[in-house]
Amino acid sequence: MSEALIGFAAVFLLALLRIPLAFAMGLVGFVGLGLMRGWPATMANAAQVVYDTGFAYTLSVVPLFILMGNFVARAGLAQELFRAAYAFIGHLRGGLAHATVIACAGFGAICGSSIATAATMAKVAYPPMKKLGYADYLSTGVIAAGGTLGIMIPPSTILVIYGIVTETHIGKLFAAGVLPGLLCVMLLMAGIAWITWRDPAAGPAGKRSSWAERRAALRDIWGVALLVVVVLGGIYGGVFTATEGAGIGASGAFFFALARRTLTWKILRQVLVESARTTAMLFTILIAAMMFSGFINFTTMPGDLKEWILHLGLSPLMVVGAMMLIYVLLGTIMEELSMVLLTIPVFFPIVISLGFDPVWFGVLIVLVVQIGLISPPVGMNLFVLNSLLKGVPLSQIFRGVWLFVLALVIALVIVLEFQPIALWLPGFMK
Amino acid sequence: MKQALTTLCGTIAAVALFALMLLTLVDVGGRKLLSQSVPGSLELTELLMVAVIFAGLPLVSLQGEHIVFDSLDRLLSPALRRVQQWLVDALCVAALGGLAWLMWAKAGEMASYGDTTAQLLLPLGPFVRAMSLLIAVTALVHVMFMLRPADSHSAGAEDPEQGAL
Repeated sequence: MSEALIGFAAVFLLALLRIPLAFAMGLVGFVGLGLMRGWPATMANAAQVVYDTGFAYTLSVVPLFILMGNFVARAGLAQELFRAAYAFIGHLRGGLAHATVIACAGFGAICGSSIATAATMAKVAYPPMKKLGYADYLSTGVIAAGGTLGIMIPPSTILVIYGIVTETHIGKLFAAGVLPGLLCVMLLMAGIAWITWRDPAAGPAGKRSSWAERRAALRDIWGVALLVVVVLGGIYGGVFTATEGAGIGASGAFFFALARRTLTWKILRQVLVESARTTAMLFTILIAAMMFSGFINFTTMPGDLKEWILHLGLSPLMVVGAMMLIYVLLGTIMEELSMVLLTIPVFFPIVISLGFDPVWFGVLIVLVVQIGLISPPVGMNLFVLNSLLKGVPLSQIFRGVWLFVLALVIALVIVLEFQPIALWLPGFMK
Repeated sequence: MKQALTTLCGTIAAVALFALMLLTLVDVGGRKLLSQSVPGSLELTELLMVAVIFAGLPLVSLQGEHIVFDSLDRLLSPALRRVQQWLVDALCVAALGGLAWLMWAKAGEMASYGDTTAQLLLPLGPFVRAMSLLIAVTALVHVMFMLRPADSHSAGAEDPEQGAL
């Protein structure tokens, strides 16, 4: 037990000294295991982990989904999604904000990244909201929070990573994200309604679109809709695996971008290199996390902690609830991916031994990551908006997002209490 | 140097990723529609993955895109920050250098056993050697950071729209 605690403390200390988290986790895992098992075995093990993670067919799902999202972002499709959503609800109070959430959800069905969704929507949705006189705190809050739908609505980078490290079925995880994603959409829209009810000037109504305009707007998005149906429907229906679906999706998005003439050689190269870089960064931390969890699993900590918690006689749901509380609090200051990868080796065995479904826990993990991404003071989505929207001070972004943090916390409590929201859809999969 | 590295590694990673995408498309399409898959598609995918990840690695370091906890930066004076960054880079060099050496040893071992892929019988040793070399190149990137004048060091990621999540 004490070895593991020292290990955790060492990772945090190294991270505070600004050592990249991947290197901190990898080094501590390596040294920890070396001291416990002896160096020759540990050295062989480290090389094997790097080798196995590099040569892994199923992990090609990661770069392919990233590539799909990046192609579609370049194809300028977010614009059309936003316009279509606006055509139907733009005339309501706060209509542009509602349309932003819906467009984020649509974009999230192709893109598995929260940061990319927020960045794309900031460019598409912020200017029209500004033009119509929306208060900055509302528009930025909505974009930041809506962006997190990118990781709940499948595909989702964090679900893929969770699936890899816990060996949970990625297709089932994707299916499990759909209804909680829609729940988040509803709660975020409720938040907008609340804000614009209290402060109607923050989100004035736009002009009503005619049915002809609505039909035209819908026509513009059929291509994406088809891509989503083929990829996610194919995975859900068991026609292909998540890895195969990712390859089809990336190819489809490529031809889509090509057909819309948004690709030059330079842009194609840029998209590919960006996606490869994101992949390499993810794999660095993935490999490091595997070394670290190799060490943690060698200590007595997972077993001790499990026993201790079972002895406390708490209700299983309370235990998971306490974990979620820890995550939400940690998420305000920590980078979320490393938070999850650091804690999974300890939390996951407990959750499983309490008899919970790993798919359900995966959805909870996504929700706490979503919350962490938008909760000040350290929330990546907020920083992304701050760097993209030069005219809006960070204090305005912080101010507007709190209500949406609350909305997602409510979503977390609902999914915690009512497991079928996550587990009903994957239940139909073989 | 930086330019050459960006071009070389970027091209390898980009070509490999594009090939990976097309390979999956053709393989799945062939299997579902014509019930015929690309021979050795599984191991080709794995080899391409290695190229994407490990050619991408030096670029991640070059762009300063590793996840770091930088909230304390404000509390440190610029001089102290420079010393800190130098030490961080030194540690990265040590870690990456060690790993490159381990992988090189593994490559030698695999080559001496004559390990090959299962279907196409491609020798694995050279690929693991390439992994080792690219990790070493990443270590060199951090050496470069240690040597270059302090004021030119970029503190964080240059492209805020790319992130892990």
